[in-house]
Formats: sequence, C-alpha cells, structure tokens
Amino acid sequence: MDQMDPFERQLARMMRDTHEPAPFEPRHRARLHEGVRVRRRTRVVRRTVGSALAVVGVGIGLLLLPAGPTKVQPAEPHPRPATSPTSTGSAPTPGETPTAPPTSSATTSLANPGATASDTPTAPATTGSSATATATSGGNTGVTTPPATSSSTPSNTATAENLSRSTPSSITSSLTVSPGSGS
Amino acid sequence: MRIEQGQAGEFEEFVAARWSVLLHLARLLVGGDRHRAEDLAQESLVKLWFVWPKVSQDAPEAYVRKVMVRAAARAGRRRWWGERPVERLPEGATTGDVSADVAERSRLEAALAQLSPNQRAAVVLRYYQDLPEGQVAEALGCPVGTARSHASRGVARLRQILTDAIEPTR
Repeated sequence: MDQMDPFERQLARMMRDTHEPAPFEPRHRARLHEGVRVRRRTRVVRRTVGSALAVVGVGIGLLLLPAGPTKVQPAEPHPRPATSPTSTGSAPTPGETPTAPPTSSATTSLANPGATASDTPTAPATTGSSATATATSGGNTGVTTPPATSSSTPSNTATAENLSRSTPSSITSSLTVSPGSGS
Repeated sequence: MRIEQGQAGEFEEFVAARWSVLLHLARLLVGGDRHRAEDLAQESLVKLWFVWPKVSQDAPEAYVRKVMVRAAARAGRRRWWGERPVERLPEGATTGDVSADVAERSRLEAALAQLSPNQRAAVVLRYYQDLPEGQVAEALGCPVGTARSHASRGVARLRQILTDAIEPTR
C-alpha cells in the first residue's frame, strides 16, 4: 500500500469518508435473533432428515444384501457309535480271556474326544483294565488301540468277576471327566 | 453449538460495537444497496453466532469479513435476490439529503456497482480495509496472484468510471 498513486489514495479516502455511523438498533437485534432461530431450526431439520435418510439407506442396503438360506451345519463330524467294532474286538491277546468286553473304555474315549493325556483316567496296571487307559489317548479317532502290553501276564486276566471288582474306579473317573471337556 | 449466557453477552457487545463498520463494508461490497447490505451483514452475523465460542477469542471480525465477502460474491452471481415489486416505495429520499458527501458516496457506490463481485471485493478489502494481498486472497478464497489481478483490474475500471463521471468524454 506504500506505492499508491494519487487516484488510489483518493479512492481509499472516499471509501473511508463515506462511512456514516449506523447504530445497532433494536430492530436489528430482533432480526438477528430471528435469523438465529430460523437457522437453528433449519439445522435441526436438516440433521433429522439426514439421520432419517441414513437409516433408510442402511435398511435398504440390508434388504438388498444377498440373503441365502440359513444352514446349520456341524463343525465336526458326528461322533461314531459308542461301541465300535474295533474297540470291542480289539485284538485279544492269546492269554486274555475275552469274557468281558471293555465297553466302558470305548465309551469314555468317544464321549471325551478332546481329552488330553492328563485327563485320561489311568487304571492301575494290576487291575487288568489297561485297555481303558490306552484307548483314550487316541483322541477323535474313536478307535481303541489294542493294548500292547496289558495282558502279557496271565495274572492280569480280566474275568468278569475280576473286572467287576477292579474297574469301578476307572469307570467312575472316566465318566466324571467326560462332560466337562466334551465338545 | 449452544452459546452460554456470558458468551451471548459478548456477542451482543461485539455486534453493537462493530455494526456500523460491518454495515459500511457490506454496503461497499454490494455496490451501495443499503437493504442488501443489511441483509448481508445480518446473514454474516447469524453465521458468526454459531461459531462464536470458537472464534470469539481469535478474530471474529476477520471471520465475519470472510463470510461477508464470499456471500457477496455468491449473491453477485445470483440473478434474483427474492425482491418483489410493491405498489409504494418503502421510503423516499428526504429533502436536503443531497450534500457533497452523499453525492460522493453515490458516485463511488455507482462505480463499485459496475465491477464484478470479485473485483469489487478485492478493491474494498485492499483500499478500505487496508488488508495485505495475502489476506485479500484468503478472504476471497483464491491465490494471491488472482487476488492481485482482481484488485488491479478493479482499480483500473474504477479509474476509468470515476474519471468519466468527473470529466465526461462527450
């Protein structure tokens, strides 16, 4: 603004000199307040309409989404029967008398597929129910592995009488474990 | 945004103190129409009300000036301002109103009215508000070079108009 020519200086002077004082009258104040009210109302209406449009848009979008039939499928295959042929006819060793099928051990392993080795009830080696202990380590397979070393000695022959006396501890423990860890 | 009672009082004080200057600025920006100038000032102050808590501590007048300049530029491009013809003029010119000052103001406003809205805003901000080119450009929302061009062309046009008014070519 330093290098103004005479016309520019005169122009600036004219702009300032033509300023006439104008007081802020009550009518100006009233009009200002009215303008504020109108603008506030407009903003509220605009916001409301915008929200309603957004809700309608979301609803339409949800309706137009490809909605296929709802299918409920199991995450895992169904468990096999409780007593599988493999578990019941598990390679009896020559020295073992197959008088009592180890159904309790098969039930335990299938009802408790996710059980870890620590959950597996272990039977004492002398009870003759070592098949129970080895069958549960198979996990989901449900296949009872034949006892490799359980009946190697003739003294561990599992007769019905012997089994009824000796297995309750192992059966009880396996049934106790299964509900908590089953899927 | 809701304004508290104290802030509303500050706003009222600001408006009462600056109303005259803002109204004159608006009048120059619209080219002399007093009613349009009042509308422009009111509209800008309403916008200021809603941002008052944010700008009250900084530069409320600069905010109003920017709003006013841009609104005037928009209104200048508009073809119709909502005016309707009436049977009687709302007010007539009073006797004795024609003085040297009024004649000069009328001449200036008539000359400003012939500029484009951007040229008029650039000239007013530059020569009435004494703003540097950077602030003129910011208020206009354009580059500095464009603002400088608007101002120089506006001054050149005003020079021609006012010289012709004083010394008619024919």
